[in-house]
Amino acid sequence: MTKDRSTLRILVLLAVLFVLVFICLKQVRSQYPGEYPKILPEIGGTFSFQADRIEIVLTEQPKSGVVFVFAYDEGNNFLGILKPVTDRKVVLGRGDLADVRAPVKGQEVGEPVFLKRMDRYAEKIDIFEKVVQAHDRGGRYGVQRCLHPVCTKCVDACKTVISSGDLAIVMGVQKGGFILPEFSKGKCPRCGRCFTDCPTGSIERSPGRQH
Amino acid sequence: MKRHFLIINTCGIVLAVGFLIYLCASALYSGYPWSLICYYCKKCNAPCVVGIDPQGFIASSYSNDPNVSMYVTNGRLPLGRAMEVDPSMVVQAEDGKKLSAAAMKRKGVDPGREVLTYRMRAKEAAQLCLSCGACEKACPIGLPISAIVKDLREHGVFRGK
Repeated sequence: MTKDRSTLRILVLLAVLFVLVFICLKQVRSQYPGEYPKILPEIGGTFSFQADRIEIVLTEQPKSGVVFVFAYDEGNNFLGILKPVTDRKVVLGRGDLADVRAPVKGQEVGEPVFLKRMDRYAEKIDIFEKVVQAHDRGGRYGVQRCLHPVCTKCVDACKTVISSGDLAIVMGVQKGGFILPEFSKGKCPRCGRCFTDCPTGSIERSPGRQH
Repeated sequence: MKRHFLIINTCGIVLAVGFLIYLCASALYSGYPWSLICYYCKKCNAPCVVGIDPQGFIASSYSNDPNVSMYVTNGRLPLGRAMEVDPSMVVQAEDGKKLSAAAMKRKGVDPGREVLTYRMRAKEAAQLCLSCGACEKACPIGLPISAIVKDLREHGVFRGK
């Protein structure tokens, strides 16, 4: 009889423990549901080439109010200039000098070099000429809202969560020459920091799962 | 002779200490007391593609004055917009001369023409900031400069107000 009672007590205790663990796990899950990021396609733009200017009409007004107008030179260097957008329009004039240069090898972007220090240019590269040359020889040029290589917030946010170095988000060069984040679903812990920190709206919260 | 030096030195020390106390108080009042530990290394300036000198945000915070003038040497905006924001904003003409936006307009420059900025108030510089965080990464002591920029951009005033 005593033995039966002690067995019963142990079983009840185990059942209570099991229920408690189940409740705690359920609460942890609902507190951190997590969502995957969604990389938006790049902003489109129609280029209109004139003698002393290039007028670009974008498909939408970017969130940050600026875009990178870029062109690749013969050495496969990414040359970019940050331009303000007014009513979806960007004007690139003759004499506009590039702000940044980054070497590109295959799909990988190298360390960027800022061409302007305070009010002096370390190297003067006429980005208008480079865009025209790229257009004439069929090279890569365009406009993008993602501010890489200037901004690395998404990658930095991922690094604060994943310490192993095998990041869920890396920067890569796309077909048209755009430098965009590339996302690996299997590695993503769904912390949400990338789309929270992105200042340009290039990464958004993936639709579907709600809190 | 000695008494004169004693008075001068005492006054000097009192003024210096008083100024330091005032600086600490204004930094505390602005809501960013950590801004006092900035030691002007200027490493934050190099990676900014807009040419912002982020140390200007630090100076404005410990002065508790969002109207402190600071360098923004690579911002681009239409002259008309610069006039709306601040007619006294210093912009760069094509020949490299630095003029106020109002002076550029008086010279007959088209308001729709894009100009390069040079100097402006901290609260306007916060609007041009891209929030890329490059200055924070470059800071050797990890000062959270973007906190000041965020408050200025969203509210136009510092956290303490």
